[in-house]
Amino acid sequence: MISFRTRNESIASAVSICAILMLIGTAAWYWMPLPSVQGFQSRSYSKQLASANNSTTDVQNERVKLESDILPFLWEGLPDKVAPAALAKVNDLAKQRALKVVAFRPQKPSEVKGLTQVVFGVTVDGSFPNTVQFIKDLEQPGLKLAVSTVQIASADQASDRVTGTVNIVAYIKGATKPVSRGDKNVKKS
Amino acid sequence: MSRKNVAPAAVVAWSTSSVSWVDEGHRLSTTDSLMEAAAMLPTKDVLIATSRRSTFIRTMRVPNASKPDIRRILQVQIGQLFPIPANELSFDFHLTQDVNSEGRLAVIAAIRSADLQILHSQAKAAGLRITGVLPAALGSAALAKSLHQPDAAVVHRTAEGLAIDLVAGGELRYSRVAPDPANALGIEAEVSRTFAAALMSCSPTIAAGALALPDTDVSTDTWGLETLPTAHLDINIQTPEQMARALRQAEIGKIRLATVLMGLAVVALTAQTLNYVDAAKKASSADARWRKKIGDAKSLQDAEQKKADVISGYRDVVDLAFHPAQSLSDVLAIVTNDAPKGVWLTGFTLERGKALTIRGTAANSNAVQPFTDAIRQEADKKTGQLRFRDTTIVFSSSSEIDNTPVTQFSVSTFPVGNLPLEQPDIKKVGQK
Repeated sequence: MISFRTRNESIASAVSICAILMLIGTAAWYWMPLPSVQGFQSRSYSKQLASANNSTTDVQNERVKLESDILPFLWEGLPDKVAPAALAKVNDLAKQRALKVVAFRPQKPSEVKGLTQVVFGVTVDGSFPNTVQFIKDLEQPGLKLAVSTVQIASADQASDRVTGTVNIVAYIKGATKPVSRGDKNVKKS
Repeated sequence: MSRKNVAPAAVVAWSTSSVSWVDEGHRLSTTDSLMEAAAMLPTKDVLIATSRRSTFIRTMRVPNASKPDIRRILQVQIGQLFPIPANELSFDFHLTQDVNSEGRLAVIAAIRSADLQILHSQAKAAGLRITGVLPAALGSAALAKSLHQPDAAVVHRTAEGLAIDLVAGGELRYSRVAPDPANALGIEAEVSRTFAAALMSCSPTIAAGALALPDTDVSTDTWGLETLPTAHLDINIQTPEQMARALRQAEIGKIRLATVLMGLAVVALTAQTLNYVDAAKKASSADARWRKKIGDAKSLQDAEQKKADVISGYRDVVDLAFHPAQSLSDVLAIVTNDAPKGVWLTGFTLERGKALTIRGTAANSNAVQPFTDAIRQEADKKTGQLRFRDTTIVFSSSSEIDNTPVTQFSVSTFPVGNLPLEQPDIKKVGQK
């Protein structure tokens, strides 16, 4: 079948050899594994997917736990809604301690790490022990108010009356946008 | 090139002047031409055995190579082997199993091309199909082999005369036709003469075709012609035109086979390529699906991590604000309780992250020092850790109140663990 005596035989033989080589190569190729996402690669992908899902679950669980820890200390809603509630609580506490609320001044909200921080300046008038108790009451966790500054000064030298100025801080979940007039004006300008 | 191993229906001994064949009863029939014989032959397919007078037989050693290569060699030498110019001869040869250091023994048979063409034209005219052309003398070697006489002189009485074929080692070595002697002694003399001419030693004589030879070693009714169909000889004498046509047919066959092979290879390769491409596409698609799944899962993980980071930031803020090491009310209560007799506290200033400033009035300057000492020594009952550090008297001044000498003072101390609240970001809420 393979001979190179004449030109035609040479051509035929060369073609035959090429064809045989192609057939052998094709047969070898046929027995080689075809591309597939199976075996090791698939297992690797499964592991990666499982790892990502597990990490996501862990992070979610961690987040839920963190939220459950901190939610009791945070307010919800707009700052304008928080101020009246805070004032009501302050008034109740002051009344319980026989103190007179001289002033309640909400300050401009600011943002702290994604939380809206509102500071209220509270001025009370009353006895020193009651004022201290009042401050202690304000520090109860259930009130969601943190005491940041305390100034106590004797009202007069003739009695134990003092004037207490207490700055309390409320944190509102999320950087909620205040809707006070001042803010609107700032926004317009 | 070689005759097919299919037994022809009739073996016909042919010469330009006569045609002979052997019937089933081992009887030799002879006519003048193929045209006449055709009517009496049982079949149209004939194996032609060229008569001894019209065929040249020669044995010689040739290189132990393939038949095509040996043919090329003989094509050059054929003119020197026979007394007829090479271009007028048609030949073929039979390669024997006899091989020695000088080469392989070949039995070469040649015939005039003109005679061969006459043969073919006669067969065509008679409506016969020639399946092969070979020398009639080769039948003697086959006959001797069938009689288990590898070395012998096979003698026939033919239309041309007394045919004497010398066989050695089972192969035809020499062949001649002698005038037909009148008696057995004459035949034996011709046989001896033939051995002498061939330079071969004498061997048993086989009287074939019911030749009457009383003192012969082996006698048989069978003719050499009858053994040719089963001899399986690779010899078929063809005209140069037939050779060229056969060669061309062989080439065409090779080209056809090569084309078919190449077609098969291309089809197989294409099928495998398509199979591979299909599998690669599927694998790529599956791979992309996996990657997308993993990408989505990681994106979700990142999003959840960002949310967790935000909540973590909230926790930092909340921890600082609501879980101070010492509450401000406790600090005030402790400092108040530390005030000794003769000391009146008149004011406090306490801010997260800053020192506590205490203002007061003492009956005498000696009372301030015990107060500051008491503050310094305040410790947590559980841990024993001091509650205050950097306790200092900021100022102390003497004065009179209602003609009573008093000392006014200010003390600064830092409550341990009094960390500042988380500072607001630079921009206020609502600003861009």
